[in-house]
Amino acid sequence: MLTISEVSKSYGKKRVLDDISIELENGLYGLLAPNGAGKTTLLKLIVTLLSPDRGEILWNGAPVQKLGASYREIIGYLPQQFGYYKYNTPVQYLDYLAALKGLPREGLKEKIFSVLDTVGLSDVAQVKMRKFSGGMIQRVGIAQALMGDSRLLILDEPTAGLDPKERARFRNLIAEMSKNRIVILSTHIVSDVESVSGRVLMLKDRKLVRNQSASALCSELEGKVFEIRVKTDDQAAALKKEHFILSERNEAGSMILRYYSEQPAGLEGERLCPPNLEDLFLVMYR
Amino acid sequence: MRVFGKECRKLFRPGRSLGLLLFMAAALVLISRTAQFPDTHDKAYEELVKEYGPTLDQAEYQTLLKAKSVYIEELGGEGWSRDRVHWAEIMADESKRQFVFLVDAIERIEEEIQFGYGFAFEKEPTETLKEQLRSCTPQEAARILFIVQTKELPLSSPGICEIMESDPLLLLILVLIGCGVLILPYQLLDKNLETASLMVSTRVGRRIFHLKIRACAAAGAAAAFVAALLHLALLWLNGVMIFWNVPVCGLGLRGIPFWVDLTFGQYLLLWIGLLVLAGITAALLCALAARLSGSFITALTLALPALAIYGWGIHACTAVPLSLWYGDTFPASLFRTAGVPLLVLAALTLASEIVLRLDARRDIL
Ligand SMILES: Nc1ncnc2c1ncn2[C@@H]1O[C@H](COP(=O)(O)OP(=O)(O)OP(=O)(O)O)[C@@H](O)[C@H]1O
Ligand SMILES: [Mg+2]
Repeated sequence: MLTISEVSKSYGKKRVLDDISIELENGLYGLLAPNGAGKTTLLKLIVTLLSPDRGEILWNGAPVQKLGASYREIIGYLPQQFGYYKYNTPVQYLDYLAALKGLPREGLKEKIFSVLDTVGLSDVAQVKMRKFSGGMIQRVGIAQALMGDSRLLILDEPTAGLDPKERARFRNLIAEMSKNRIVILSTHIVSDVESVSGRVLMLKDRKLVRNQSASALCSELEGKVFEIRVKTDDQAAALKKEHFILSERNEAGSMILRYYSEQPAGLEGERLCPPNLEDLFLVMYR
Repeated sequence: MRVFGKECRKLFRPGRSLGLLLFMAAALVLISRTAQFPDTHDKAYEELVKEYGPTLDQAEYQTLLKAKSVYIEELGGEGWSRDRVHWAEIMADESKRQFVFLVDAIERIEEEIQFGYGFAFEKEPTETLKEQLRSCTPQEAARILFIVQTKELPLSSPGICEIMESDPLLLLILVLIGCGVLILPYQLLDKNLETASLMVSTRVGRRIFHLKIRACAAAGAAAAFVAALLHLALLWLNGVMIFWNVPVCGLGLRGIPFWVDLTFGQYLLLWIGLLVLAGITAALLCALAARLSGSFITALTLALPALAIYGWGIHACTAVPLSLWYGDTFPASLFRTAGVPLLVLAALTLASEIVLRLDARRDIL
């Protein structure tokens, strides 16, 4: 069990995280927040790249700084940006990281090929990475995080650069993985966390403001999301002035506006909609 | 150990290592004095060493003088060298040409004996010797007395003395270049790619920085070893090894004044030790320069002057002033030879230890 207890962190004078406390058990946690909210900072604190200014992080009750290597041993970490050696093939690179992770040599080759297969890179396992696209590099990063059967999987924007097919494959993989370990992934792409069961952590103004399942979060907006078909631009402009617009789309020549309102606006043709996580994101960070 | 091995593999990229190896070999073959060995004098000394061993005693010296007159007879008596037609004839004849070299070597030895070693073959210290001893430093005096007692004249050819004087500097420069070429890109690659966040979050953690420094030190030692091996190979290929057991400590015309009696081989081994020390020190210097700078250019501007000053310093402390410091006591000279590089090494080790300690607490941004 991972416990983040009253953790604060600043860069110089700039406070980024303030008094964050979370208890994490096996399962999936989606860290959802806009750019610059401190997602990467929180994850770096968890993997001990940063040390908190105040508070502490505990693994099964013991401070992680004290646990040292025996704590890092159980981590699989995908940084948001990571350096790789262009002259290496994925196999060589994973072999190098396996040494850093202290994975046993026996069966290592098989393990490497199996994780590369998991991320769909077995065809290019022996190709130098200088020939790789951004999405392929990202999958090498995911592969290295998966290597070693970590109890704690920390993924910083894992789906960045992945195409829809790879994104779907990744989602299934994570759903499977989170059955018997803690998986924390950060994202600002709502659909990454919407469809998987698990908890959504939201950061706002340096604080942790939500720690709930996606459906529980959505229910907050129950009865407050509406759609309306507008014919003229004037109508649309008037609506935009009064309400917080969540999205607009064109359908059969007219515009459909989706908006947030505490009470029904009482407009003609107004239709109550089931809220989704994206609505919540937009409302929360408006 | 496994991670250290991996770091070394990263450090010794095959292309770069091979290029460095070829560069070192080419520089040694093109510039070193060893590559020009043996010249005509050296050939004659080679003959003498084959015949008489590394040193010449008094009886052998007398034999040599007799041999010289025989050679001169063979060459056509005194004044043979003044006849130009005759000279061409001699040069065309392999065995006669050999006589010319031998006569030349023997004449050099005679000259040296008159110059500095004459007393070595006197039975009693003569008045001139006593006079000479009075004007000597204690080391010079000890050296003269040693020759008087043993009555042995080292057969070190002028060539090997030149090798000892000029090749160490070349080797040192090659090792310093090697350190820069291997270590700067290695250190800067990880820094510029920002691989630290991945490395430090693994089991190894911040210990990786220690291992990287150690890999750099190993690279410095390896560069020194390889340069020394190449040099030894060149010495062997050019037949210098025949002089391995010849004492090189001497006075005046020949030999390098030194505080202890070393043979050519021992002197080389001493130099290899010193070179490895210099290699490790230069490696730490490069590792620190790279650690303190962000780009290749800044690392170079830091490392180049540092290496140059260090190289000049160590050369000044070892090769050049061996003769100037002949008046020093042995401990004082030893301090300047090995002590200065050791002190610099200790200071650098301390500096990198401090940097590593600071890194251990630093956030990896
Ligand atoms: N090394 C640093 N020095 C100073 N400030 C930093 C540093 N790294 C991050 N910050 C600041 O801390 C805040 C949080 O950054 P962080 O990278 O944790 O955000 P994030 O949620 O991961 O954003 P993104 O979605 O863009 O990845 C930002 O405002 C950023 O400007
Ligand atoms: Mg981030």
